[in-house]
Amino acid sequence: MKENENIETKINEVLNSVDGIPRATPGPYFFTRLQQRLQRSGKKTSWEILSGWISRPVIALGSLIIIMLLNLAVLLNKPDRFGYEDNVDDYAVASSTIFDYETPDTE
Amino acid sequence: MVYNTALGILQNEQDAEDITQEVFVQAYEAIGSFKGEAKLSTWLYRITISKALDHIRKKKRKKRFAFLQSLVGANNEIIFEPPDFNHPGVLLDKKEQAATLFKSVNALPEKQKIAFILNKVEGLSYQEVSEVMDTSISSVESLLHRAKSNLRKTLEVEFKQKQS
Repeated sequence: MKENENIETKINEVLNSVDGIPRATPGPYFFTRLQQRLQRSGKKTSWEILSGWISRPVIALGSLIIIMLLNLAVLLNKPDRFGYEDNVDDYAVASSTIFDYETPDTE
Repeated sequence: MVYNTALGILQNEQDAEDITQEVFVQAYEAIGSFKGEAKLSTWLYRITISKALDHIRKKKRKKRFAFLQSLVGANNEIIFEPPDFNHPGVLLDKKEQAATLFKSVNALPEKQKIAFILNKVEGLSYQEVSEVMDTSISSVESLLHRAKSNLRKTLEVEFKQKQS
């Protein structure tokens, strides 16, 4: 019985131990650090947002790989450079020259 | 106000300072969206509580992951158990009892813990607590009643164990 009363008293003391306690305050220089952080957190321009996004390693590496794959695809699908017949028309001169006329037989 | 609330919930001065900074940064950036439907203090309390609870959940997830890693043998780090929390506002002769109380408060369900911290540590009235928690005064009374009841049970078990 006495033990229970003892425990009950202790419980009440514990429950009342924070009654009326003053508010805790942060450590020194807290507000200085906070002010600096607020000054740094100004709104970014669209260029800053874009450059910040592009400079992320995942984006930068991924873009590099995609560009390299595209280059590879273009190289592999490029037509044969040494096929003369395919390319001869490209080099045909549009206008006729003196060499295109046949000299008539004079005899 | 913000720091004291964060400290009561997190029971760690470094974490409370970090969360307080984040609350003020968010308030500074989002002040344009504050419509004035509630008091500014209520708005700040809500942000504080939300960030503090997120922080606790993140910590629990990290602990769980570290525990799973230790089962697999991938993580050999010793899990650090923080010492008892001492609120700087508590008088010297009540420090031990307050430390015991905060330990038991940490084990309460979230809503009961918030209501208790706001009322007992932050000193808000039932009306103010109900505004912050966006609930009725009778709900706040019920939460505090259940919190005290749970604390009594926990403390009774602890004191009986100490005696035996």
